[in-house]
Amino acid sequence: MIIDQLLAGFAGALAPLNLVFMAIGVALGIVVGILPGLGSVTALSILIPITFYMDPLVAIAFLVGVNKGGTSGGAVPAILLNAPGTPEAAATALDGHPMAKKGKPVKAMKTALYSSVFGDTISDILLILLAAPFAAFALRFGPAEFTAIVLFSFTLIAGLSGHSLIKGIIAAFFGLFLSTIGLDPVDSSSRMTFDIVELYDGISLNALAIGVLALSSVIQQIFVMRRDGNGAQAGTWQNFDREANKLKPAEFWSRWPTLVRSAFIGSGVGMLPGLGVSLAAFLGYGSAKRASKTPEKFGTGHGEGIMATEAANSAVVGANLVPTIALGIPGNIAAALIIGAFMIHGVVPGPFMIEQHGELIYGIFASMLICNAFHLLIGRVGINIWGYITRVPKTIVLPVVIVLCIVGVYVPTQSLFDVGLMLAFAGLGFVMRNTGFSIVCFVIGFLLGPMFETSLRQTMLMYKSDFTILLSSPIALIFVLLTIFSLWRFARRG
Amino acid sequence: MNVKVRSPRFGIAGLAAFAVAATVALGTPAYADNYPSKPVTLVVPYKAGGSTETMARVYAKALEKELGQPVIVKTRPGGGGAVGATVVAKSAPDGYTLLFAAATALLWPPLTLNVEYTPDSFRWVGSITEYQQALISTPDKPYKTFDQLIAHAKKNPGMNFADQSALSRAFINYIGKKEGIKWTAIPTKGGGEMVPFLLGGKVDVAWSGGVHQKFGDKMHVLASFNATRLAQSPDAPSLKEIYGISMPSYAVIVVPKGTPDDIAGKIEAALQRAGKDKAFDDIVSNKLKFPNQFIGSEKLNQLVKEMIEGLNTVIAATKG
Amino acid sequence: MTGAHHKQIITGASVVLIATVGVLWLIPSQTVTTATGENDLSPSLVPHISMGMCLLLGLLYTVQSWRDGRRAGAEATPELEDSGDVDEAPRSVVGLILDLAVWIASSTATMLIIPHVGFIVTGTILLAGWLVFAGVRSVWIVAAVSLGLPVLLDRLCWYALTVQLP
Repeated sequence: MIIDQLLAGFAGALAPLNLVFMAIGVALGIVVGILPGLGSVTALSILIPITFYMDPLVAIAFLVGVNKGGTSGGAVPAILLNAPGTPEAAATALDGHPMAKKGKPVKAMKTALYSSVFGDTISDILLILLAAPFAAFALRFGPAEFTAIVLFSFTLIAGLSGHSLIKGIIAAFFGLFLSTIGLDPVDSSSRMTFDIVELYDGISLNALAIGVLALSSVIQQIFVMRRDGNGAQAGTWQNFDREANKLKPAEFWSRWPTLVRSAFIGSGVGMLPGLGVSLAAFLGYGSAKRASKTPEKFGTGHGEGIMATEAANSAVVGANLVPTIALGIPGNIAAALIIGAFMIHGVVPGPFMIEQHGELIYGIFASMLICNAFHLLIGRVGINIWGYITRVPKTIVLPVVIVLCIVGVYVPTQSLFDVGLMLAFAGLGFVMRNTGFSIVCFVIGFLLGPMFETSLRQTMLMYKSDFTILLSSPIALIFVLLTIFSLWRFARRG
Repeated sequence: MNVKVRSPRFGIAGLAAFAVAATVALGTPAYADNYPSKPVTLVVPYKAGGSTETMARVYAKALEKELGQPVIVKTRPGGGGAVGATVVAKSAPDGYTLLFAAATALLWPPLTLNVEYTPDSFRWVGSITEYQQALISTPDKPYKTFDQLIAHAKKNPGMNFADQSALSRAFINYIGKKEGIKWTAIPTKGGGEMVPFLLGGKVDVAWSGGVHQKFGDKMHVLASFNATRLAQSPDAPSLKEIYGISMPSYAVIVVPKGTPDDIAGKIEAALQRAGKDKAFDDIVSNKLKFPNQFIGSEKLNQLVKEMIEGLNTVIAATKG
Repeated sequence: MTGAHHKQIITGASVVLIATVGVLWLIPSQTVTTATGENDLSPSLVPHISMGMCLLLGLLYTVQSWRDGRRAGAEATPELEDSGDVDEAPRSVVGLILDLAVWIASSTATMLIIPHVGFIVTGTILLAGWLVFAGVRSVWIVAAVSLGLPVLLDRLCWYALTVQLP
């Protein structure tokens, strides 16, 4: 039955106008995603008004294209400049940049793109199959289950701390501390805000992530170039070798277990509202490293690291429409914007959406699958273009990126306060890089901290401080056991 | 035009230029005649993707036709609307910066947080619609009406309710205080978190800003937080009927205090006409199921006074 | 004791110092320390735990580095820079502080002038400064990039994104 509806959907989705707009959408998404600080969310909120006068299917298909492109574009600066513009691409840089430094930037970008499209496709298929039955399952997730999931995420990520576990944990706790700045999630009293109104919602993740991940890396590279002192020569990439940059299909597919694992992790995270793309990326990377027989290769330019991250973060894109379509609630901000677009085009997202607008929904499903083909095509053409960046001396590219970061942080919130924060965090990141504190751990602490605190306190309030709920709820129990298992394995490995 | 006034040697020319500059800054009728001569910014103090932002985007298109200048929607989220409100309160009172927000974002933070604005920092131009704020529950619960809920809660202390802000928490606690009920507030980050909690049975009742109307018979309204009953749920009483208080429900458009009368008047007229736009009416009346009803500045200013009084009552009652 | 160990000790001591200030002054003065209800945690609990852990682990790390340093004695042990994110060679503490000072000066200047002269002028100055600093010696390239890019970005943001840069 699904097949029939989907075929009908394809009939509508293959209309020439629809195809043209999907292609434009993917291309725009990729371009915006490449700029540091700008991703799907900014691209969507700017482009939604443009869709006002379009046919609903064309409009949503266009926005879906933007969303898909935006999530994968972030990998390009992460690989080429070690400057991930969003936290979701942070783990891509861990292996992507070393690979690029070895003279294989194009290979790294290809790996990232193909993994993205793969993860995305799996996620779309899951969306089409699971959207309806998901509603009942999703309702079993409450604060207790989320607490258990976040606990488990912490342990999985402990493996990302680099050589010094102590410093990794310090970095994570410091990130956690910074995440508590703002209004308290329960009683709304202010915490370390110094009565600055811009801090009431906490430190902006965007400002923190760009500063500490991207900009600090850029200034680090500038200072190193200056210290090494041989001007233009230090600033160029290594010679480009076509042969080394080929990605053989056999090499790519031999890592299929990693791809599939990450695609499912990403889809799972995407289906649960509130967890976020970045967490999916880190979980994908962390679990691939855990499962690998050669974990020491990760972080040295290992293709599997790129695949694990990109497959996971792109898999969120399709799956986060599952709660939207099943329950009418957004999986994340990008999905919230798409809900807004649905409303503008006369569809009220909610539990009745498939019944009332089945034709449109299946048209959108079909468009998503077609979009993946465009994504592959346009992304591949794009790689050739981005390849040219490597011919420009780094002495020019890096200062330009500083200015791009400023623009990138300013545009989404139009707040100079965030620009200042970003510059300050770039300084912090620079110090951390040079004293051996893991920046990834820092960002993860910041990301997971509020989820953990809020879910834990919700759990305590809801169940009157009775923690047996963590054992009596089957889903929570599974994650508690996984946490214990993960800690045990970690302790045993040493 | 030469408006450089660097030295007195410019004499009369300089003085004249200065006078022109000064009158421009103060906003003369001549200036208002030209209004709007450049793009107008509509600030939404919430994250992109919410119902307010969606409404604002459609409304901005309609307003653009009325004003004859582009209307740019800017989101400045933070502090439950306090960040955007601060920005607008501090911007130039020239009619080029408008704020589209829930009235609560302008009234509540000054009473409870340390912010740099008060309700008087703004000129309240008009209200576009009303949020449909309700106390909601699911049909599987033993209580079907507000009275039954109160009776049930008295017998079963420790029920959980989901709130979405300090304000909604204060109001539900106010009910608890009045009725002698002990119940627990579970903070949620908005409708997206409240809905699964309620449908999944994690909480017993919840505050909703209007999202429940998308869920048909899967959710039902026990009481209205607005001053009146909700159009979609005429059988549920409003808190005003029971306790004489109500939660400010208006989606308002304000400009900074000191905006000249004639510019504010122009904006008000444009707002009213834009409200009749077909696309805007469709999204408000049919999609969000909010009333598309314009309230002008005169009546709104009276309402603001009442709303502040009501909020102070609630704060006084729930403190300590 | 090698330079690398000195650096580790200074790093550890800085962590301890920051965490102490946080635990003893910042958190108590800036948060509510009592919980609202019987089943809630106090708002200051999580900040206290996180900063407290930083303090403890920072102390541990300092002591560990000091002991390692003593054991290594005068031997110049090659130092393994210990983090996955770091791909550059370690540098001296003084060099690091100098570099950081350059960055802080540049950022402070940016934030001070941007509200007054706007993005285009600030961007031009900033770009020119960093291009020269990075080692671009061609006046023409510096001029073209630093004058062209900010204007281009400003126009692009306005027409494509309807965002007015300051």
